[in-house]
Amino acid sequence: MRPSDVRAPWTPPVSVVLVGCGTVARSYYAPALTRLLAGGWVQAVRLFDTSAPRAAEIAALLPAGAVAPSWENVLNGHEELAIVASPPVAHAEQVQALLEHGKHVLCEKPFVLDRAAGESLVDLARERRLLCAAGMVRRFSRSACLLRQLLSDERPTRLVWHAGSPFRWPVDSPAYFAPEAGNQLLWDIGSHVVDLLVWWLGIPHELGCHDDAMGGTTTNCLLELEWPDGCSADVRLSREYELPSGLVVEQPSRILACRDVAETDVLLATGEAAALHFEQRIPGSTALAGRTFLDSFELQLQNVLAAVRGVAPLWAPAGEVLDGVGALATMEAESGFLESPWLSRRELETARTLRAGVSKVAAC
Amino acid sequence: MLRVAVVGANGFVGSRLIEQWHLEERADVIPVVRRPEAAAGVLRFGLDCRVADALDERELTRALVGCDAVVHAGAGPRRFVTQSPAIIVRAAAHAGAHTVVYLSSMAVHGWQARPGTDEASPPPRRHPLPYNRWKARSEQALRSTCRETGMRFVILRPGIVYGPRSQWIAGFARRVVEGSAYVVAGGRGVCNAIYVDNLVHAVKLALEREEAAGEAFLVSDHDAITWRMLFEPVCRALGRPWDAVADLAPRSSLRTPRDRLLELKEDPAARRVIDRVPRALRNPIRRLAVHRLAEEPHHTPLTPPLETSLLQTCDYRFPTTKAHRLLGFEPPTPFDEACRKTVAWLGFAGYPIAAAARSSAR
Repeated sequence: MRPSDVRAPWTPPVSVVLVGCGTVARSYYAPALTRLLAGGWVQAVRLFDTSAPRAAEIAALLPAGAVAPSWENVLNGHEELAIVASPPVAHAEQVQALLEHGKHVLCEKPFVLDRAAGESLVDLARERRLLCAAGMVRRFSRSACLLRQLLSDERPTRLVWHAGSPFRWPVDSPAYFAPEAGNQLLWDIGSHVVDLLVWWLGIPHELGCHDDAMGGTTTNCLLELEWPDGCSADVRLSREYELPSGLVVEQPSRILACRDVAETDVLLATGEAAALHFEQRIPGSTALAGRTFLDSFELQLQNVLAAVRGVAPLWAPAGEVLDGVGALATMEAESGFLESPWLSRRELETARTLRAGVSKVAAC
Repeated sequence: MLRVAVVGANGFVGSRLIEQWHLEERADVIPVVRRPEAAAGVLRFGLDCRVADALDERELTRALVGCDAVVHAGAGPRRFVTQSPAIIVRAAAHAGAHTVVYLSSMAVHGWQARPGTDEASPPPRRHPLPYNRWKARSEQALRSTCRETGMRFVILRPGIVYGPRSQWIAGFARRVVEGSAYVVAGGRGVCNAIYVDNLVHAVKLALEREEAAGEAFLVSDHDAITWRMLFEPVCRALGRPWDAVADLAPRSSLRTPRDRLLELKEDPAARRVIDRVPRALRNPIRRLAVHRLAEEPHHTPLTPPLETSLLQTCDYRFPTTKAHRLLGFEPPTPFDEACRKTVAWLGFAGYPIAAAARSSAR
C-alpha cells in the first residue's frame, strides 16, 4: 500500500495548481496527484505551462485535470496551493508572484539559485502568513531520517558520498544543459546531497568545489565540505559514470553505509541493517518515512497538504534549505577546474584555456 | 578543418574521440545522440550537439548537414546494430558528407577463429553469439549501401577496446571492490585489446588515407597481452591481490535456454511481450532465469557467461598487418602508459585506488 492510498483525515480537500509540466510533472506529480485526488486529499488540479499542449498532455493524465489558460489566470485562480515544477531559473520569480497572490507554495528543488532571493521569498511568505515549502523529497526517506538521528547521536569524523550515474532524465532538448538554465549538476543532484548534509550536520565552514566544465556545462564534480568540529565530507557527483559506492560515514565507534539514501537501508560494516526498529512518522501522514522514492514523494505532498490545512508542520520549509542554497552558490562561484588525468599534455593545455574562458564568463 | 559527425557520441569510444579531437583541435566535431539527455557528457565542451535517431533517415540527414565525414560509433540492440549502418550511409550521402567510418568489431570473425584468419577470411557461417552475427550482417549492409550511394567508407574491426570509461575496466573494478571478480582459464587467453586512444588514432588515419577507402581493418595494440595482463593492474591499483580473483573453468560454447532467455532482454519485440506479463509473475521468472545465472554483481557466478568464456579462452591473436600496411597504423600509446591512464581514470571515477597507483598515474 502506498502512503496516498489512505484517505485524508481532514476536510475539505485542497485545490492545487501545478506550474510547469515537464518530466517531473509527468513522471511523479501526475500519478501522485491522481492518488491524492482519489483519497480526498486534493480537490481539483489545474495545470499551467508555457506550452499549452504540454499542459494539456499532463491534464489528460489526471481525472478532471484542467489547463489554466494563462499565468495571470493562475495567479488570480481560486487554488490554495501552487506546486512549482518549472525550470529552476524561473523559480524565484514565479514563487514571488504566487505568494503575492495569496497562494501557499511547494517549489521543486533547487528552491532558488541564490540565497538572497530565497531569503526575500521566505520573508514574503512569513509576512503574508503563507506556507513556502522546498521540494527536498529525500528528507522524507527512511534512510535520510535514520541517518539524521544516528549522526546526531554520534558526530561523524568523515563522510564520503558518491552520487551519480549516466544522465537518463528525459529532457526536451540539449538546451536543458545550458549553464543559464539552472539545471547544472551542482544544483541538480548537488541540491539533495548538500541539503541532507546541512540537515544532518549543520552549516559547514569550509567549502570547496572542482568541476570539469570546459566551455560548457559540468558533467563531474568534487565537493569538499568541513564543519567547525573537524568533520569533513568528500562528495563526488556525476552525470557520466555509475559511481561505485554511495554514502559511507565514519563515526568514532562504527562505519555506516548507504548505497542510495532514497531507496536503500543504512547498513553497518558487517552488512546488517543499522537500525531495524527505527520509525519516523512524517507529520500530516499516517505513514512512516519512505522506503522508496515514490513513497517519499507522496509523503512530501501529504505533508504540504496537511500543513495547508493547518494540521501539521512543514517537514522541509523553504527557510530551512537556505543554508544549503548558500553553500551551493558559494561552491559554484569558487569552483576550480577538475582535470581529467588521462588527457595528453596538448589536450590539457586546451582544456585549461577553455576553462579559463568559462571562468571569465562566470565572473562577468 | 574537417567537420566530423560522431554518431554514438555518448558512448565509450565516441565520447573519447570527441574529447580528444576537440581538445587537440584535430577536427570540428559534431556529436550526434539519439536522445537529448544523452548529450550530458559531451556538453561539458559546449559543442553543437545534434539529436537524431540513427534509425530515422530523415532525422539523421538533418543532423548531418554540413558534415564532411561521419564516424559511426553507436551501439544498441539487434535492430540498431544491423540496420543503422545502411541508414547512416544514406543519410550521410543526402547530407553531402564524403566518408563514413564504421566501427565494427573483430567479433565478426568469432572468438574461436582459425589460425591465419585475417580481413580477407569470410566470417564463419555459425556464430555462438548473436552479436557477432549482427555485426557481420551490418558490415554487409554498409558495403552494399555504399556501393549504391557511391559513399567512401572504411570499416575498422577493433577487439577489446579499453581505457578511461570502459565497461571492461569499470565492470571488473566493481567486481574487485565487491569481492566477486573472476576470470576464465586463469585469464591466460589472448586479449586482442586496443587502447581507446589507439582506436581513435586509427579512425583519424581512416579519414586521411586514400588507400583505406572501401577496406576493412583489424586493429589492436602493438603489445600482445592476455586477459590477466589487462586486469591485474586494476586489481593492484585497488589494493587487492590477483589471488582474490576467482578462476572459472571455460564453459561449452553451446547456448543454453537461459542464454537465449537473457538475449530476449535485448529484443524490443520480446520486451514488449515481457512487459505485458504481470509484475507478480515477472519477478519470480526473473529470479529463476536470470539470478540463477548470477547476473547480480555481488556474487561470483559458478559458470561464466558464454561471451566471457569465449573471449577469455581465445587463443588467436588477430593480425594488424593490413592496417599497418595500408593505414600506416602504429598504435601511439604503449600498453604501460594505457594502463596508467586507465587506472588514473578509475580514481577520477571514484574507485578506491591505492595511493601508490594514484601517484604513479600522475
